[in-house]
Amino acid sequence: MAVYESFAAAVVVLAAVVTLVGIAHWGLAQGAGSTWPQRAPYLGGGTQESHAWSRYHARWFPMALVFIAFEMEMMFMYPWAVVFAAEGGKAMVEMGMFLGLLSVGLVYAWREGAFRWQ
Amino acid sequence: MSTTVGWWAAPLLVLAVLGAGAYVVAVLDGLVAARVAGRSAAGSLLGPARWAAATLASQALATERPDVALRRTALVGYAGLAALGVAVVPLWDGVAAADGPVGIVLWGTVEALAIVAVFLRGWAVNGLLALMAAYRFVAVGFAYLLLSMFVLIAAALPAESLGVGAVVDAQRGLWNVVRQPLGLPLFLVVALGTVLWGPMALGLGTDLGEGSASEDSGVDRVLWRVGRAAMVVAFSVMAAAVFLGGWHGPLLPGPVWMVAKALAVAAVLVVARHRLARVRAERFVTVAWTVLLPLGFLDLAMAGVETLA
Amino acid sequence: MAVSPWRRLARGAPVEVFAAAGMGAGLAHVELASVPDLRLVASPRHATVLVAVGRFPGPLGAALARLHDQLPHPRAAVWVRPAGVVEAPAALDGADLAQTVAHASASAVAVGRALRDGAPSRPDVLPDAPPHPFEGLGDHRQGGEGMMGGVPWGRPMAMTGPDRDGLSLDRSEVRMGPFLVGMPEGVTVDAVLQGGVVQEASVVDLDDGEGSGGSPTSLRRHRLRWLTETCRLAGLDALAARAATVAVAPVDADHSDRDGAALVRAVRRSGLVTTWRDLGDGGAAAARLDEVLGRLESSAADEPVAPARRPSLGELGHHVLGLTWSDALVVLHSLDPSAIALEADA
Repeated sequence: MAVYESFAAAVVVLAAVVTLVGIAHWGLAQGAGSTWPQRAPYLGGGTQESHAWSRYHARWFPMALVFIAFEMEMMFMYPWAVVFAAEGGKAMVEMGMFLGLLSVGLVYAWREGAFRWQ
Repeated sequence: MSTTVGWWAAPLLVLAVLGAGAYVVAVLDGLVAARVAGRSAAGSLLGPARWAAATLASQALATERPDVALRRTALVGYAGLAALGVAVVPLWDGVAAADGPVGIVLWGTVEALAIVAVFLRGWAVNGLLALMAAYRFVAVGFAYLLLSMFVLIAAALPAESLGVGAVVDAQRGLWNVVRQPLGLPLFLVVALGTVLWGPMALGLGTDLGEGSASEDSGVDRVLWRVGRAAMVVAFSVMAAAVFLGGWHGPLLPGPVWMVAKALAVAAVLVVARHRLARVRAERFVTVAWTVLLPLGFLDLAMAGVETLA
Repeated sequence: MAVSPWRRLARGAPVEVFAAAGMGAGLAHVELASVPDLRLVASPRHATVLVAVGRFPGPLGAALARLHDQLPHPRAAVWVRPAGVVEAPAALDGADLAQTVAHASASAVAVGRALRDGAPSRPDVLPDAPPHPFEGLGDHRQGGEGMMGGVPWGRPMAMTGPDRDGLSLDRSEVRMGPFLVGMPEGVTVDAVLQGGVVQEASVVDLDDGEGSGGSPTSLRRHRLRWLTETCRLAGLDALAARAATVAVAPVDADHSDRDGAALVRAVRRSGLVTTWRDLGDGGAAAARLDEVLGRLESSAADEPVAPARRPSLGELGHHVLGLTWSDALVVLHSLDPSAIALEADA
């Protein structure tokens, strides 16, 4: 099955389900609008003066950078997987080198505490 | 090679599978919960319908200053991604909604965007507990997302194609769970994470007042639960196709095997949900990067060696 | 009057209950999880009935009022009122009364089903007004000083402050309330969080010093209740229901306690002790869990003891500095002050 046909079918499926769930959400909603005390954020009975939205300190930011590095490697692995059997051992060695280099970075990040945040 | 049912019938097929599958998963969930709690499982068949009817009658509360558009986007996005996940999997020989040569790439999209959808759910309500749950979930999501891609690529190596139908065809002689044993367990970890169940319920922890769900009531709650059950169906069907040989199997006809395998995977996920304690985000991140990812490398290496041999 | 099939279907569903523990409750509220027709939930948005156990003096009553108003309509309230208490907090005005948690569970089921059949819902306790009047410098009341000033939609934005590493980050100053799953009774935590990690914390004890410790209970039953709350905290709701069932059940005549042993095995197999390994001073949280599980395995019977009032808890803030909030909650829960009150008398 051609790529375009499958993409078209996938988009149709996505659009159909999104529309259906959206309509269900809009149509099944119950109850009048909420009063102010009902809308207070849940904190176990506690209070918070400010909004929850803030410049949240994402402590896992270094890990996210390592993730992006590996994700770029994934992009290369997609076509690599398709031609792997035809290319043979050479392909294996090449990907092994790529993964090895990234793993050095991974070990460095681990030793530097990128995976701990307390 | 699987053929499609036609673009007009694709949504119907997916909706049928998702609708029936989500309800079956919910019933299974109720059954296992009753067993683990030491209660009788009577009434489990109608349990999800009853819960939905009761919860839909409840008021759908808003918070003080939510991001309404993103809140709805998160919900419909998550459900749509589950549908996309089911669409790329051939359910039987010749029956597939959108099985093309790059099904695994589309599946990767589903997983990555599901993380975004879950994050948006927690962020959009503007509540502190939901926000903290959303952020810690993203950390865990980054950690498990790579595992999925490695094991799926490993499964694609013998098939020489990224289409799920081709991967199923390559398992005609031997299922992937036998020749790539690390694949299925790692994939199940990813499944638990995306569905926010059991050990990986970090976007929804009870220790954070149900996290991203802490401000959901009424229809939001019901539709999110339906969406998560649908995502379980998507992962079960994908695991059955990519690791358990799809519709191949002795004696019984293809569709029966497919349903049985998907049910088995769903049962494992449900039991894990009720029996395993939720992990700590920090600890899981460390374990995922230092233990599970090298296991993924190993899985890939084993698959490569076996393909070339 | 014809009942729609939708309503008939809804009638059979378990009633979702949020349990709020006041002073003197002693974790008795978790026994609601043992009732098959009820389901204990972790957020009031998911609940239909609010079951309050114990006394709610002063600030605790105010927190209960905030909690009560967060339940969606239709809603109801049940109060397990200790003996000798006459005055109801504002949130429980007109609530159904019950003498024990067991009575309260039957009452909650009844009132939950009545709500589904169309009984009137409880009105709000707090006035319908925004937390702050919207203020701003512009013509349409928008804007404030600097980039983050003013009171958009009734609340200021979080401002920056130094964290423990010296970075300048947004501070979320929050008072975490007493009714979170895992919070010891009558305790709130005034915390400053940056990125979900506790930078400053002070534990505020809301006990007013009056009233007795609570109804008599045995050490074994208290340990099982604590285990129930622990399972809820860990996301193991089905195991929590099982633990509550074992807590409520009378002890076997031959003291074999097979159910208790099976429960302990299930909790150990869930990996909870390993998960908590790094929490608390020197792994105190995991040690406490291990100790409770060990005690439950060894002894099956225990004599009831009337608990003393639990000690004041104002000095616990330093236990939770530098932890993420969820870890902090585990540490606070594992300190289990009610057990101290029980064992002091035993």
